[in-house]
Amino acid sequence: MAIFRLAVRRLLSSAPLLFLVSALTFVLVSLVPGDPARTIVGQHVTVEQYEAVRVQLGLDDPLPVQYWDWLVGVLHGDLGASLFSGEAVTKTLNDRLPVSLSLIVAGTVVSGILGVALGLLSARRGGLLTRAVDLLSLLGLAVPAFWFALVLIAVGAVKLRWFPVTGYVPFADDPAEWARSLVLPVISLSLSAVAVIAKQTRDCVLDTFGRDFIRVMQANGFSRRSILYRHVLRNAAVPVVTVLGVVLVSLLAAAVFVETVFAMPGLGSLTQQATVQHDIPVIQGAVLYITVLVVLVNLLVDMAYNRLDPRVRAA
Amino acid sequence: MSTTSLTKRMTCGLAALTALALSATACSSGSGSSSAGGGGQGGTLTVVTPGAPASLDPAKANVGSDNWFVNLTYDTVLRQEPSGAPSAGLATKWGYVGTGNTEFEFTLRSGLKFADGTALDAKAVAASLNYTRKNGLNVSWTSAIASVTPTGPLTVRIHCSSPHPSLPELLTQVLLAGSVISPKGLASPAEMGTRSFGAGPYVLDTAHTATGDHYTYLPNPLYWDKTKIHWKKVVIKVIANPNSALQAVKAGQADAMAITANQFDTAKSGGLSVVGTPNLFLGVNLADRGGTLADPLKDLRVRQALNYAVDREAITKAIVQHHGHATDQISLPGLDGFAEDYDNHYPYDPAKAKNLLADAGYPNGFSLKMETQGFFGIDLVTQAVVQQWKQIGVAVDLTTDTSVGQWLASATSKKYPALGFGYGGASSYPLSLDWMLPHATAFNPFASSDPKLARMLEAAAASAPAEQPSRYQEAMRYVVDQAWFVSVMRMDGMYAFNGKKLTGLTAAPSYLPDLAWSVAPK
Repeated sequence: MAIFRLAVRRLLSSAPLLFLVSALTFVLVSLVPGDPARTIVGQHVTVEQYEAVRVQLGLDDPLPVQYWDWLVGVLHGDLGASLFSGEAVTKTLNDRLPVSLSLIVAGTVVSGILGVALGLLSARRGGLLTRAVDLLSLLGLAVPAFWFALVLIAVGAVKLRWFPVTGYVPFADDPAEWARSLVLPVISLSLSAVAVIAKQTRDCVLDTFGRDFIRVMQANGFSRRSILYRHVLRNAAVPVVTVLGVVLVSLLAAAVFVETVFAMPGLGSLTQQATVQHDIPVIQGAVLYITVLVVLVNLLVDMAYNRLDPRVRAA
Repeated sequence: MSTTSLTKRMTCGLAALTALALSATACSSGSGSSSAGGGGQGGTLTVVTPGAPASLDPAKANVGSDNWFVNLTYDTVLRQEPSGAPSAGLATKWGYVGTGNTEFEFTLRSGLKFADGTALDAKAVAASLNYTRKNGLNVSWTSAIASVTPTGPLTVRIHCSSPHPSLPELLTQVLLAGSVISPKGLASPAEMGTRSFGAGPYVLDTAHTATGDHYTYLPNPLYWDKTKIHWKKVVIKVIANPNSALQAVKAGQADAMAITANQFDTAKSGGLSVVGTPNLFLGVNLADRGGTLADPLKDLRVRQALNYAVDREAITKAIVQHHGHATDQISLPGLDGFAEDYDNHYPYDPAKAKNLLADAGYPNGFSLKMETQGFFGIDLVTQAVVQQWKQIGVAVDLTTDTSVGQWLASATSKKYPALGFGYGGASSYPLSLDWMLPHATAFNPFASSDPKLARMLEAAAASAPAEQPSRYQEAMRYVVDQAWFVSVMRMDGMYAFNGKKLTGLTAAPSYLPDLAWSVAPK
């Protein structure tokens, strides 16, 4: 019940955030040089035709009026239509959402599992493994993700031909092909996240193992397994979950380049394309979806805190 | 012990995930594009383009970048051959009526149908052409057309208010205006952006199309010539990143794509076939010839000095190696306006350039505001020109736009006296409408007017076909003499493709590989 109340409170308090983000996006997009009407009409039209398109798209209205019209539409469940394809923005976004979600969820799962595993191993074994994790962390943060993605394509797709170079197969069409189409993008997306989580996990586990209550438990004869699973992991999990939440949100941003390099029809590539074209309704809709995702991720992190840390529950 | 156990469990979990992915690999390797089948019809043809179409409505699609998307589903009145000559399409007979190139008539095949089952007759074709000329984006090319009327069940007459010598070209698959749209499409223009309403060899499979990502086409069962349908399925995949796109073709996931000069070696080393032909010229447009913003540009000597100050050979070699050719003009070999003797009209001579500037009253040079485009290598050419102009004291304040929308807004804003340009080769009539006649366009934003040039172009447009090349070449020599621009190079347009699977992918000036009719399984 407490968790339910927390969820409702958080969702209600996110409404002003959504409004602010959408307004800010609208202002920023309007400041970017370029003109969607010009892009649509091209280079061979008369001034009258160009003006007609501006009027037809509502681009001749003052910016506050344009934003108000969009906002009213959103409150009625209508995100408008793409200025270019004419397709309903909601349909475009709903088509693309599963791609980004697949990528980000898979990226988070892989980063979480590998990062925690490497962090634990490094903390418990020390020595070479610790140095290896340090090196991996350094590499993960230093290697440009864009370059790494191209190397993965050259090796995994072109040379070995194990995975497709580009594209995405919906899970419903073919689950095995869906997994195959995600492998290279997820690896390139997860590299730096694994490094960050591994380092954070190792530091937290070492820190927890060094605390007095662990020493007392060891002195009282508790098994290592019990100490690790019931106490160390649980205590170390709170900061790791925090990092995981941050990583998940950062993967949303990283998905823009991964989707572009691997030509995946997700929200990231859509936003990038819409920004270049100045397709305001699509940009607004995509930012709204991404903001909602961020809000949900933060909510999940808070709920995880609630579950993991009794002090948070008490508060 | 406990950590070892934990490690084992994690390893098992990861192994399971990896196994799922690898089993998928084992099950489906090679399924990205199926090989061409026998019997003259291949399986799936997958081609890659760098951007999504502006629209699937032929009237609102971009000529050049969107042709493949449109040509597959919309047949055109005529067909352009790689040689540039028109051939039969939906029409079997065509020609100008009388002299002066103002009346044009064509006769359609009988028994034609749109993919939606509606009869394709003269009335439907006239309605489609009228829609395009009134609502299309290439209004400058159709502005001379006063009316399109059916004169019989299968005959259509085009009446022009001024001579239009390029109507056959306009009605082909290259310039798109002759793409015939069904009455159902014309009744719902908003739907034409995302659906197909044509009579082409294929129809858009909307269920397997994701706007902006990939477009799937299936054979049109009502097509009039089934021998033209070479594939069971055609997929156009949008891949914005050129490296990923080329890797996809190399890996066999796609079959063909346009490439740039710096991808040539990678494509060849990857076993791909490459065809190319000059199809784009690049340089700097000295648009403010009247000196509205930049007073020096109204002096012919200054404009000529800017031409003499550019080492075109060096720039061409540096940017496109052997995939281009230095030139001073804005036409291509094989096109009617190409004047062979004017390819090197302004040999590199910085001393002469300085003298001309001094004669014009600018011995120390001057400053100039310029815009360029950060794509297709246009910015590279512009930057090289800017560096060379520094030698004669001309300092350029350069702004680089990174999207087509930004460029179009800048080019038509009349804020920049000079503009970097890239322009696909076109025959002289449409070229003159964009560049040389006093209409405000992205390539002539200040609507520069030259009565002598206008008379030359008018006479050329009204002349008989045999006379047109020499007249247009005279006009080209004239604008080069007047130094309206600093053309630097013509660049090859190149296509990389799987030569073991495809045939018929041809490149030619002012022509695009004909995906709908010619690209077939080997």
